[in-house]
Amino acid sequence: MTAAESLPPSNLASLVLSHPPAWAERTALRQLESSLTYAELRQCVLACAAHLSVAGVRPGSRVVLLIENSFDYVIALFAVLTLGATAIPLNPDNSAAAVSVVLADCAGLGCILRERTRAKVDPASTLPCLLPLENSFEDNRRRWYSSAAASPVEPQPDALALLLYTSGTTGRPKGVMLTHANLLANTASIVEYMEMTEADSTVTVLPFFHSFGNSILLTHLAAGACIYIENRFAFPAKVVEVLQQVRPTGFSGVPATFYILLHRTNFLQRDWSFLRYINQAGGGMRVETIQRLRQVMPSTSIVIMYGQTEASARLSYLPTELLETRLGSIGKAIPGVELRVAGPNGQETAPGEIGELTARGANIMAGYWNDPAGTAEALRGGWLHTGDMARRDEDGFLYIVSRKSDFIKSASYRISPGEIEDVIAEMGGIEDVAAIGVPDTLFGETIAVCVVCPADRFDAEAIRAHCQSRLPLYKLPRYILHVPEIPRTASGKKKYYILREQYQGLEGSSS
Amino acid sequence: MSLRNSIVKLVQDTLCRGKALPVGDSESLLDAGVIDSLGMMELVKAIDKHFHITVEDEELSPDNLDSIDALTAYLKSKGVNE
Repeated sequence: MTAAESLPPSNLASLVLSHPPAWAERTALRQLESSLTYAELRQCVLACAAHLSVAGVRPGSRVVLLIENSFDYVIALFAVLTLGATAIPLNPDNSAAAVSVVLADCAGLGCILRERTRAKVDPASTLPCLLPLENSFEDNRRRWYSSAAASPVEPQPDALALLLYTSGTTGRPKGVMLTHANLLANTASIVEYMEMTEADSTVTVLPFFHSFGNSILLTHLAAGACIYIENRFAFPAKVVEVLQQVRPTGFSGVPATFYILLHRTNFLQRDWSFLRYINQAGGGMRVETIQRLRQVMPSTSIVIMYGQTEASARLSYLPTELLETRLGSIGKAIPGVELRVAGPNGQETAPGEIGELTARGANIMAGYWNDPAGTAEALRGGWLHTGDMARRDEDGFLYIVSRKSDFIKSASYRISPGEIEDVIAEMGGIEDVAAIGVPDTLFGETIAVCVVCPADRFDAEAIRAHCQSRLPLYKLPRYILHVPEIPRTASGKKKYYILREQYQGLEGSSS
Repeated sequence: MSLRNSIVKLVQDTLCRGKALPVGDSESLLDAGVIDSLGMMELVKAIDKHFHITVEDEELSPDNLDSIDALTAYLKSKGVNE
C-alpha cells in the first residue's frame, strides 16, 4: 500500500488519492472530447503536487487558483490539498489588483494560472506565479505524465483546506475558512440525502470557485461519479445540446440557469427522462419556473436547496415529493445540520414567527480569515447567523422571508453595496450614495444606485462609465437614480430596507 | 468605421472596460475568458441597440458570436454593412 492509499478519509485530498481500486478505470472528468479516469486524475494530481513542492508549497501555504472550470483546475486544487496547503480559488476574471488584495490579506504564497489568463488579468506580471499552466490540458497532461509523484502530506481534520472569498459588509472581501472536516462532512451529507452513487453523472455549468460548484465537484468525486465540465453557458442552446448528448443523471443550477434554459432555448420541447434529479440553490426560484420545470420533466426529482459559503455549501433541502405541498419552502436541515429560527435574544421562535435563521453542524466554517470580530459576530453562541430572516411552519418546514443583511444577490453573486458605493463616491460632486438590490426576473436581483448630488451635477452616463472602468460586469448598476437623500438611522447607518421598499417597483427582466 | 472595427469597439466597450481585446479575430472569446453568460447577455443587448437588429434565441450560438470573425460574418448575414 502506498502512502497515498493509506491516507484516512479525514483528508479532502483522499477523495482523489484514495479512491477504491474498482474506480481506477472509471471516468472521473469529461470535457469536450477529453476524459480522465480516476487513476489518471490521481497520477496528474501527484505529479502537479511535485511541481508545486519544488515551487515552495508547504503544509499551511496558501495558494491562489486563477483557473476556469477544467481538468487543470481539479488537478491544481487537489495538488495543493495533497501537500497539506490551503487553496484559494478565485474567479479568473478578477483583475490583478483584486487578486493582489486577496494575496495580501491571506499572506498567500502565489498563484497558479494559465498563460492566457496572465495575458488578460496580469499583463505586467505583478502577481507571483508558482506554476504557469499551458493553455491546453493535453500539454499539461504530457508534463504530468513525465514527472515524478509527490509524497502526500496528511493534514489534521481541522487544517484549512479552502479559503473562499466572499463580499464583506464593508466592501472588503472576507475569507471563509473551511477545514477538511467541514468540507468532508458537507460532502458526505449531500451524497447521503441525494443518494449519489458511482452510477451518477452530471454536466456542470457552475464555477468551481463558488461553494455550490465546489460541492458538485466534491460530491461527485466522493461518490465515484463522472463530471462533464461545460463552460459554454453563454450559449445556452449549446448546453441543451450537450445535455442531450451526454445524458447525465443529474444537473444543478441557480435560478438564472433554469430561467435562461426555459426561456432562451428549446428546453421545453426536449425529453429529460434520463435525468434522475435536478438541484437548485443560489437564491429563491420563482414558483412559475419550478412549475414549468415540473411540467417538462415529470419523472425527474426537483430538489430545492439552501446554503451558504459559510456552511461549506449546503444547509437544507426540500425533497421533490414535497414540492407541491411546500412550494416556496427551503425544506429542512440536511443530515448532520441543525437549523433554528432565532428571536432577538437567540431563543427559538414559535412556528409562524419570523427570526434569523441560524445553523450548527460539522460543516460550519472555522471563521473568517484574519477577522476575529467578524467571526465572533457570525458564530456567536455557537451558531452560524446566516443573515436570512425565516419562519418555520407547524411541521418544521422553513421559509426564507427576507434578508437581514444588505448584500445584493445577483446571478448567485453576493455583492457588497459598499464596493459599488466606494467607486461612485470617488467621483467629484457626489454627496451621498447607496447601492441596493431590486427584483429581477433573470438574476434574482439587479443593482440600483441612489445618488445624492446637486441636480445640475447629476450625470447618470458619467456614473455608468466610471463604474464600467472600475467594476466587473456583474457589479455594474442597472439603474442610476437621483434621490434627495439617503435615509439613515440616528447613528448614521444607511437604511437600505427603506430604499429597497421604495424602488422594488423597478423590477424588470434582464433577458 | 469598418464593420469589423465597429464590432471590436463594441466588444471592448461592453466586455473589456474599453481595453484592447486579448485575442485575435479568429480566436474564441469564450476560451479567452472575454465573455461568460452574463457578458453574452450584455453583448447581445449592445448588438441589438448599436446595429438595430434582433439577435434571436436560436442564433445564440458559438458559430455566430464566439469570435470577431464569427460576429462579422453573422452581422453581414443579417444585412449589417456598417
